[in-house]
Amino acid sequence: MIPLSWYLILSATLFSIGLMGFIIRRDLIVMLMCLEIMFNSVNVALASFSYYNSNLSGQIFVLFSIAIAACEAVIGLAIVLAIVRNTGINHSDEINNLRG
Amino acid sequence: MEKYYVLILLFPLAGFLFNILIGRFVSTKFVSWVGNLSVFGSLVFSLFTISDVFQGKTIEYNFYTWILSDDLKVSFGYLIDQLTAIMLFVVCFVGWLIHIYSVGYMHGDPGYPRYFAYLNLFVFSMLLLVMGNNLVMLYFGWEAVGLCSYFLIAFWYQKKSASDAGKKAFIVNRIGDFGFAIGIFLLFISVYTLNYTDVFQKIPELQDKTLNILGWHIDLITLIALLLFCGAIGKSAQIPLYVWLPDAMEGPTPVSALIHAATMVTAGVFMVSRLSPLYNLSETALAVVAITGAVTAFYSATIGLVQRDMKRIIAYSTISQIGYMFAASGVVAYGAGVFHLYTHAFFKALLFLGAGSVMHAMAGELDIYKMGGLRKKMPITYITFLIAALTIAGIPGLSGFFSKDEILWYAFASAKPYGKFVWILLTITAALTAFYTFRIVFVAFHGKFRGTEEEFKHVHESPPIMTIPLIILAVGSVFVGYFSVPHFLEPLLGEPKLAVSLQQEKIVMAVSIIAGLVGIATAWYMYILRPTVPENLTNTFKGFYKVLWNKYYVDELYSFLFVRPTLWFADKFIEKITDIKIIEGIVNGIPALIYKIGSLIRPVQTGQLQQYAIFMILGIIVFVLVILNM
Amino acid sequence: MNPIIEHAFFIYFFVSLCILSIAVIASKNIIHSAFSLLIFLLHIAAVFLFLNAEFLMIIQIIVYVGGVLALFIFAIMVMNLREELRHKRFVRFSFLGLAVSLIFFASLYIFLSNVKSNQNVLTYSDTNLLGKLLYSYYLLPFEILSLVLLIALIGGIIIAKKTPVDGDRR
Repeated sequence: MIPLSWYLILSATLFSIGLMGFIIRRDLIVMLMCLEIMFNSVNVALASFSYYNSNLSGQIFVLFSIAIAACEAVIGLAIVLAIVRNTGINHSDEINNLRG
Repeated sequence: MEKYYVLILLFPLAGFLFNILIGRFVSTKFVSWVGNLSVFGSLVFSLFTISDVFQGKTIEYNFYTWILSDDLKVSFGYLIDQLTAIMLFVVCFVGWLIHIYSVGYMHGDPGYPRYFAYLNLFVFSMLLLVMGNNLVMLYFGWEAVGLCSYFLIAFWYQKKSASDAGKKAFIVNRIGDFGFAIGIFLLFISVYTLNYTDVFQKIPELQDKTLNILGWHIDLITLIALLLFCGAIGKSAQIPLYVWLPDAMEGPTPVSALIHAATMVTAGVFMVSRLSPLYNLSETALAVVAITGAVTAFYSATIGLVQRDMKRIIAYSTISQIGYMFAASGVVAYGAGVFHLYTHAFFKALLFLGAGSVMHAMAGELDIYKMGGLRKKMPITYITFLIAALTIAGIPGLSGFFSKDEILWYAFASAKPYGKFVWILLTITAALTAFYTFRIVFVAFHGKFRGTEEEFKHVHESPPIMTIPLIILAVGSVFVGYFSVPHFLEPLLGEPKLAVSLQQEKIVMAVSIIAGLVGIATAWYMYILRPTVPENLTNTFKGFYKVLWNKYYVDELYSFLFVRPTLWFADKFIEKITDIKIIEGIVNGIPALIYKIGSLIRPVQTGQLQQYAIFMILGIIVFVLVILNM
Repeated sequence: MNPIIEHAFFIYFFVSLCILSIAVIASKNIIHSAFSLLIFLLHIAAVFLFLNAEFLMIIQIIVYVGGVLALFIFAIMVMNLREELRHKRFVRFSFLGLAVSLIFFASLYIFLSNVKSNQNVLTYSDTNLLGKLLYSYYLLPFEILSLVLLIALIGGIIIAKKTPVDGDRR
């Protein structure tokens, strides 16, 4: 029997790695990929809760999460495309038009 | 009927509001009807009050409670007794005649509605002053008449001298009013009421109380009386606060007649008489009042001897005559003082309006040495002016004789130690008064015209709307003296005690008549018989003449002592330090501070997505650590 | 099943997932990152299988791998990034990011390591049952989700559209 805490630690690890990647990398597309990593870690956590509480609602939640992640990936890539097309820049630290 | 007396106040107020708001849009005829009718309405009702008072009634009625705060209860109410009735009659009747005169005098002036509005406001304020039944209403009316005086003196405000004169009047008045206010405060904290009847009941308790100021013990009642008298000095133009009155001649002549002859300047005398129970309890205050009055009377008569501007001479004459009234009050002959106030209103207004008539004919010229022989061309003005001059000189049979003689007799017969001193000064002043008044008559109306032929052709009698008030006032000047005001006021103000026998009254009367005749005769000698005498006298006593001509240099003295240091202080300290450094420092400094703080915080927003993510994660870490670990 | 085998498999997945995710974030080449992501997603699907969620596993493979990842590859192709190998990979002050995520992980670890699990686990998952649940209790989110997908579709197209330039023929 694998304890719940192990799955949750797994999820936390993946989330932190994804987070670290998001903050560190300059490429916009790789940032989006790190977002996907984070999404997946959360899905693992949800599914493990569903398993350990014998409740199918967790899996339903994961379904919705996957669907939303897909939408978000679509929009995110569209925006990245628009940015690259308009400014030719695809590094996150050179895009600072919202600077105060 | 009692409640309707509030209409006496409301008519002029309504007239003021109408003329100031709507006067510009209606015809001048309408404006003058409104202005005159409102005062006439007040006059009608004040005649009713006189008939009521004759029956012996005293009416007190509060129509609105204004302030109600612990011990302080101030209401708008009126107290109508004999004193109020006399004052009401004077203000309304003379005021009404002057309104009628103004219709002719101010004809064609662009500020016509504004003039009548202010005139009505003035009548309202003066009526408030005399009708009030407590000291706060008195003060309210006091300040309001000062304000109206300012408005009316500076009526032609485009002229710098006029607006300066208005400011001077208001500021000097204010200095007196400061003392007045402190007097009221002191009275309130002593008796905890400001209603006349209550105050008069309670002040005998204060009789021996003293106030401890920095180790000196001052009698409380004397202090209050003197402080209140400060206001009277300012308002009624006595020494040392008289300097505004001659300059106030910059205003239109009817204004000078109404405000600076008949009504406002007599407010001080009214106040002292109204508060006679208070003043009777303080010997020192009475002495101060009497001596100030007598000295001022003499002093300003000497200045009036050598002036050339007709209105200024009459202004100094006003200061002098009010000195008479205060001197009367000071020897506890309040009735005589009010009697003189009553007759003085008539003949002084007449003198001023006559001067206005002359100005009208002479196209604004006021120097009497540019006039001469006007009596042929302006008979009505001449005759009325002559009647006023005879009255003021104290010729028997005319009203001025009766009132002036009362004062001189009571001064002489008074039990007070200063009585005789006051009497001597006032008698000499009577001679001087007769002299300078007839100087005007002889120089301006008799003899040959000193101007050009052209100007002389232009001289004409004033239109009836101006001469009829003159005639009415002349009739009044002759006959009003026969109504014995002191006797009428006796129930209220008491009868002064005599320290000498009644036989001496005839002697005093004779002396005063002789003084008047001496004055007239000297003027006749100097200006008709031997016209070269004035010039010789001037040359012989050059220094003396110069001092009198320059009004004893008092204006220059005040400028040096008070005006210049204040202006210096205002410039150096108030402007440079307070205004520029402190206030503008704050007003400019706070935005600058906000800007600086903003620019310190602004770099947090770099626009870089990942830094925002870091901040979010830090927030979540805090959340996790704090909340979930609880 | 033998606990040791379970644990061994789990540890394998744990380690490989970590390595793969680090490979995603640390590759110079974007395509390498994309392929690491592909393998990562497949491993996640396997983890789902561990948790008796076979429907989720299938969905994961079909949607994520077959949809989202393909989209990524297409996007990379469209953006035509050949010069990328010369540019820096990491942001300045990357240590700050490392530190923050480390602290984050530590704080979560403190909490999560004390989670108790009960023995009442999901022994099997019935896709039939999942469907019934989806269409009865979770009908509203389901319908809204379809709307969201539509909007995302339209939005994506609009944002990524080429704006017409003067001179182009419509």
